[in-house]
Amino acid sequence: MNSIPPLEPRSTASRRWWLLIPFLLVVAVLFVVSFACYSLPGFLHVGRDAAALRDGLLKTASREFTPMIEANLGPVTFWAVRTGLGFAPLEPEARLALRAVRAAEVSYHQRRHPGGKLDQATMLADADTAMTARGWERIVGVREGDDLVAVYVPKNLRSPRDVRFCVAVVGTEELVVAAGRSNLEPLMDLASRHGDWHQFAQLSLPR
Amino acid sequence: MKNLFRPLFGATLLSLSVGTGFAADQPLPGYVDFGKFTPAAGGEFVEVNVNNNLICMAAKFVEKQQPDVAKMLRGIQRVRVNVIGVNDQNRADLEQRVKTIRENLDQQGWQRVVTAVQAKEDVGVYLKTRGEEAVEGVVVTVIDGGQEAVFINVVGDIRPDKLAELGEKLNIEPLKKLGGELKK
Repeated sequence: MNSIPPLEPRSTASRRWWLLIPFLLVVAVLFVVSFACYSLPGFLHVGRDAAALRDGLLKTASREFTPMIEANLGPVTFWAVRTGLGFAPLEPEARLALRAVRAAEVSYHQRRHPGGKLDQATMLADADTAMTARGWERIVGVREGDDLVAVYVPKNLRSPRDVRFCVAVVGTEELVVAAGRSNLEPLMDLASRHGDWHQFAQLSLPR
Repeated sequence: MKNLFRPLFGATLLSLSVGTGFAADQPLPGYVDFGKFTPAAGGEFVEVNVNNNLICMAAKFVEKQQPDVAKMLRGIQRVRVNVIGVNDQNRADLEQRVKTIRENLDQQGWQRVVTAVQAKEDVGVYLKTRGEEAVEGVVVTVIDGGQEAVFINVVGDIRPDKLAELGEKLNIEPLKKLGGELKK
């Protein structure tokens, strides 16, 4: 009489393999949550250079402005946007322009009492001091009426592939500090395709 | 000998870096320090201060269409432009500044090319030349009808016959007219 062969016991290795799945799931969830907690505040605050410009401008005028919003979109975010838009039907020039932008930050403040006079000369001087300490220099400063615009770039700017800049606009009702990082070569390529771009070399002076 | 090597090496490195920094801080021959300008209350204020890095980038923009303009731009080391609105509070100070700058330039051997005082405009153009081949610096000072004061300094290695073209590209009116003056 044939005896029923005994059932082979399940291998312990395959049992352990199934047990790993929930463990890996928990680790993955924890990683995502940690990454979000770590990176999310970064989206809501400008970087150190833009913060220095903002703080320099507000050194003597902080009571005049209320901070409203700050946003920071870094290289990873723009890479994701470019990748996503890679599937969208875009004009070639739009794609080129998108390639140029690497990062962008903005800090927006609203005037508490619009219309009052601001000591823009002192604000500009304080901003210059703050940015010079960080190795930046002001290349443009324009004041017309009640509006002040200042543009800063790093002193050691070398390559058009990695151009950083900070811009401040002080108006009667708001103060905006924006910073960005860009690769100008796609823009140069775009410029070379469209004539009459020699005006980039012109400085427009009031007549 | 081994004990001396490290301090000697460090001292050499330090002196090189200091020397380099010192050389880097030396002002260029055509550079003129106009001093600091502050925006007057309610008045116009424009300040542009661009050095060689940015100018070379601008030259790359125009290189394909206008290679001669790009070559000229690459010869420029620095451009500084100040436009200040004149009012009763700062008129005397600005006029004195213009006078002081012109006197200093005369003393430092700058060549006065244009001094024109018309009804509403006081224009001065000065050149710092290196022989007959090159212009190392250009200074333009304008007091325009009591409305605005303009200070311009262009520093670099500029060919004299290109000054009018430089004025054209940078939109500097007194330089545009300079071609005729230089030929005289």
